[in-house]
Formats: sequence, structure tokens, C-alpha cells
Amino acid sequence: MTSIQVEEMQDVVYVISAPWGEAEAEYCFAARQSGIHRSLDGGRSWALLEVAPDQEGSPPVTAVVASPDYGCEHTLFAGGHGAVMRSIDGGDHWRIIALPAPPPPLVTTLAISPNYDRDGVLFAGTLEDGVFRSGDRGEQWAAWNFGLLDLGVLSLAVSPRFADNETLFAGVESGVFRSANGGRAWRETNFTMDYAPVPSLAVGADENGDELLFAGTEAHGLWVSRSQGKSWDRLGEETVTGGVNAILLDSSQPGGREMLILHEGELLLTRDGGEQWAPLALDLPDDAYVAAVAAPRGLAGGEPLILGLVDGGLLRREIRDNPL
Amino acid sequence: MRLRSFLDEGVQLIETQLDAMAFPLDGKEALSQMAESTCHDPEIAAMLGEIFDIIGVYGRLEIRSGQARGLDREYFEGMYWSHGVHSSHLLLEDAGRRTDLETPHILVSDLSIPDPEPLARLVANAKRAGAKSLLLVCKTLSDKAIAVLMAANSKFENFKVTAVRSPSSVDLQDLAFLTGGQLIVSAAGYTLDAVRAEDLGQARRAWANKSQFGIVGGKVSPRLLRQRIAELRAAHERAQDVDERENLEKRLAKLLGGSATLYVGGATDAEIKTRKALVEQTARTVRLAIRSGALPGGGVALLACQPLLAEREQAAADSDERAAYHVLAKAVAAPMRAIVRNASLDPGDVMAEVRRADPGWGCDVRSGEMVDMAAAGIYDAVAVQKSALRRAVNTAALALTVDVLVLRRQPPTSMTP
Repeated sequence: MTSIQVEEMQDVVYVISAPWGEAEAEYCFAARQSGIHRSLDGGRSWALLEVAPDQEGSPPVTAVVASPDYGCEHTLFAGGHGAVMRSIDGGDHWRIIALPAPPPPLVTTLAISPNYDRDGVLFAGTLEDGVFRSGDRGEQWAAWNFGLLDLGVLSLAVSPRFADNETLFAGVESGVFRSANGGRAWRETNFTMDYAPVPSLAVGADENGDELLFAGTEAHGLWVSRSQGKSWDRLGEETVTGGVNAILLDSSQPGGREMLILHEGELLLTRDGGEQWAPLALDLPDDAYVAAVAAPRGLAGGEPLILGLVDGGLLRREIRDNPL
Repeated sequence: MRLRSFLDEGVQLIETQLDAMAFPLDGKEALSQMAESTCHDPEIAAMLGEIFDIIGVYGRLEIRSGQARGLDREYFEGMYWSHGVHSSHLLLEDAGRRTDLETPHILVSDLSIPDPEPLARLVANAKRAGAKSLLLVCKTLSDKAIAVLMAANSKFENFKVTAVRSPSSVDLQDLAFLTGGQLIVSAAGYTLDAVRAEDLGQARRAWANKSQFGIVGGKVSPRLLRQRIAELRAAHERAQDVDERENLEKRLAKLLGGSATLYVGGATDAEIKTRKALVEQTARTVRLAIRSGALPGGGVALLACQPLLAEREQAAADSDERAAYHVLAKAVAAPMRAIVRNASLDPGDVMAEVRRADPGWGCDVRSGEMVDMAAAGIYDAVAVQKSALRRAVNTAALALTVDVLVLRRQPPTSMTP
């Protein structure tokens, strides 16, 4: 396993997006308190991007997402206080687009349609103002909160079949909400309020192609629903006992059996759909606490992981062969 | 009386059968088809399909006369009440047509405020407590009190205050709950002097115009809000009384935080009135269908109950029981027979074909073809079918148990399905 600690910064890493790219172009982006950082070499070295050249210092960035077709069109969105920032040249130049909701909402998460190149749809979850939607590649935004009874949005997940079923989910302070019409209206799922908040969500598919919705809670482990949120089962009850801040599914492995979660600052891997979990050995410093993770090439042994730490550190590690 | 009790048993049997056949309605397309089955107006059906897909079963829908010829709709985020500002001097934006408040503190009261001094103190207290804006909900406001608020708007930079009329006491309770404020009611002995800054509710945003005011993002805990909504939904399910159900629907709609207005236009007032009535009736049916589920339409669902009723008739030992099931077995075929006959088709041929077909298949009388009724978008609402069945049987049973029936020349009509 190789490890390169590229820098030490006292600013939390909120989220990492690693769209990677063709051949040697290993793009990674990190949303940090100090601004948005970019790596062009797979997380080995990082540089702070200039988002607002006319302002002193960089605005804090709390969310970042790359378009699904990033390798071709280099479109990137970042979220901060009261605005979404868009770059169409891989982060060299940015446009700041204010969200239409005074007072300025804090963007907590961004989610993009899997068919963004055709529909131009993306969503921004905010801490106090619910979900905003743009249907024109981020040019204009509007609050889409019908039925969303809890406007404290912590996570969003768009169905891989969004083009057909227009389904997306929002993890909020009090549970999980579902929209089956592209965000126009929201309904409560049957996720028990006692186990909320839900800071992480992911949507995958089982062996039959039916959707699996995973919900990571702040203090009550990981849950899965095979029925669009109507019923929920707990996964790895004995191992996954605390907060789950990120869920990564290996989309290259059908069946939703391979999954990596960020559990209480450490990474747990399963290769059997959540029955057995093993911690990943990452050779981190003693006081390191992982706050964000990306696995750009999937979860197979030897593939890279990009890690963001609570203290601002950004690391590249590799998945040890067959930890389970 | 024995016949009547067997008829009631038979109705329960049919209702159970209908429930077993019911399927949920989900999505804009299915809702539009349900609406079209009721109103046979594609434009109204498409609009109601879109609206109910967004607002859901308890969502608030207002149907108003529109200025244009066709239909139009508007969606509102948050909750609003049809009570506007006390004075147009308190409308500060949009050329005096509207006021928008950011993170307002909110007085939720039914107080009459004639005296400007306690009002001035309240404004000062709210400002001291960090309020950026203030929304006063009160019954009346004297001219002097209005002048105090106007002065506050011009005196304080980055501070706005406006005042709106109190809605009903139930609405005030909901407003206090949503904003986390203390409900200040005069009947409980409250006066403006006793109001402290911590009694004020809060929201992310509020707005007011001449005839309405609304809030977005009330400061109630989402968990409490969801619990309250669950309680109201349970009460709604239990409610038997139509008025009580409607009131609960209105309260739920407000708490759910979104609403729609459908504007119905037309060439003449008479056309608008007729179309509005059709929209209202269709909207009620669609709402019922979302809540109770849908059935294959065109009388197919009722006809599918016939074999079971015939079976019971055969098995019955009692002559009254046999008679009751015989009557019901004939009656459940009547709706389809009437529909087919009205379309100038032969009921005998069509019904024989329907009986031979797979479950859920029936005759689309527009084309005369046999189709899967649900797939073709020909639905009936379960609640409407059950209600019609029960009313029909009750009326027939009543006729059996009374000596004289009085036929009113102009019977009272009910718009409630």
C-alpha cells in the first residue's frame, strides 16, 4: 500500500468528488472550508482553485459534484453559503449562481441526474431551506419542497434510473423523504424518526435490477430498503453500530454486494451485501479521522481511495487486496 | 328485516371483494387517466393529474375563476391564510403590493390593538432580541398603531414590520404550532403588555399582501410537525362526519406546506361556472381514488363480484338469504349493462364477452374493443364505488321496510361523492 500525505490544513474536508477521466487524467476535487481544491494526478498533489477572483480569499465550499460525463465535458458544481458555483472547464473558471431564498441557505449536498448531458437536471440540498432544483444546467434554481416537511437536508441520492422513474431521495434531520416525480413533490418514507438524522444515502440495484436504497444514520448504523422506503432492514447490526457519513457502492459490481462505508471515522468494506464487514487498513496517523472518501475506480483490491480528514488533510490510499 | 340484514351482509362481501381488487394510483399519468374517467375532459384531466401528483392526497387545492379562456395553475410553497394586511401602508415591496420578511419573529394573536404604546414597546423588545423583521397577527389595529409600525419601518434600517388580520382560532393554533410561538388569545386574558420576545414565533420567511399572508419554514421541530401530521391523518381516517373530514383535510393541507390554485377560465361566466363544478367534482373523485385506491372501471369490478354472490345464493339455506344474494347478483351487473346500452352496444353480447375475458378486462365503449381497463386508464375510485353501492342498497332496503315512500319532485342534491 502506498500513502502520500500531501498537505496538512486545519480545515475540514466536507466531500470529495473523483470523476477521474480518460487515461492518465485522474481528476479529484475536494470541498473544504478553505475552498475547492483540485488534484490532476489522482490525489497525489492538490491546488486551491480560485472561485471568486474579485473577492479576498476563497469562499468555503461544502459540497462538490462532477457531471457524470466529466471526462468529455468537464462540468463541475460546488455549493457554499447561499450559492452554487459552476465550472465548465474543470475548475479553471467559475460562475457563482445565487440560490433564490433569502436569507442565504447553506448548501449541504449536491446531486446530479445520471442523464445530465441530456436533461441538465441537478439538485442542491440545504440546511434550512430544503431542496433546490435546476433544470438548465445550474443557470436558474428554484425551491422544490412540496411535502418536504423537514427542510434540514443532509443528503440526496438520485436513482440510477432517474430518466425513467424520476425518483430521488433526501436524507433529513428526521428521516428519509422520497420524490417520484423529479423533486416536484416529496413524501415521507417509513424510516423511523428515532434513528434519524440521515447524513448519507446511496441508491444501487440488486441482482434482479430492483432498486436498493441505503441510508446511513448519524448514530444508528446503516439501513437498507428494497421497497422504495416502505420498509427498512438494518445492515451489519453488530459491526455498524454508530454514525455512517458516506456510502460508496461499486457500480461496476451488479447486485449491490460490494460497498464501502465511512463509519465513525474509519472505512468498513463488505463484499456480501452487508452481512460481513471488515475495516480497511489505511496506515493513517493516530489522530486522523476520515471525514470524506471517494473510490474513483471501484472497490476492487489495489484500486485507489481518496480520503479527506477532519483536520483538512487529503490522502491517497489503495484498497488492500481482499481484506475480507 | 331478515332480508335487509342479508343484504347488508352481501354488501360487506362485495366491499371486501372490491378492496381485494383495488390498486394504488401513483404518478401523473395514472392520476390524469383517473380524472379523465370522471370528467371526460382531457384538459382538466391533465391539469388535475399534474396537480395531484405534486400536492398529494391531502394537498390544498383552491379552484378559482380565471381570466384566460383555458386552465392555469399556480403553486405556493409554505402555508398561507386568506387574511391580508391591516393597511396598504404596511405593504413595503413590489410597488406597495406585497411585503417579504426574512427570518421574521411572529406574534400569533387575536388581540385588538388600539393603543400604540404597548405596540411600540413590543417592536423595541423584538428588535432588542435580535429580530430582523416582525409579523404581527392580530384582530384589529388602530390608525395610531399603524402609524407606529410605519414609523418603525422608516426609522430602523434593516428592520421591517407588518401586521395582518387574525385567521380563525384553529388556524391560529396551527400557526402558533408551526412557528413555535405562544398563542396569545384575548379570551385567556392576554394583553399586548404581557407579550415577551420569547413568546414570538419564528420562520425562515413570511410574506403578506392585501388579501393573504403566508410563512415558509416555520421554526417548529420537524419531528413534532411530522407527529402532528400523523395524528391529524389518523383523526381523518377515523372521522365519519363529512364536515369534520373536510376541516381536517384543510388543516393537514396547511401543515404539509404546499398548495396549488387552479384557475378555470372560459368564454362566458356560465361556462366558467359549469367547468368549475366539473373540476371540483373531479378533484374530489381523484382525491378519493388516491386515498382508497382505484378499480377497473366501466362496471367491471362490480361484475367481477357476481360469481361469488351467485355461489352464496346457491349455498344459502334460508329463502330470504337466497333472495338477498339473488338481488345483489343481478344488481352488480346493472352499471355495466347501462354503460353498454348507452353506447348503443348489445349488453348481452358484451357482458358475455367480459365474463369470458381475463380479470380486469372489459369493454371500452368508445371503441367497442375489449381492453385491460386499468392499462387503458379506465378507472373507478374504490370509495366512490363503495359509497354508491351502500347508498343503493340502503335505499332499496328502506323501501322494503317502510309503508309509504314520498317522491319529492325536486330532491335535494349533494355534491359529496
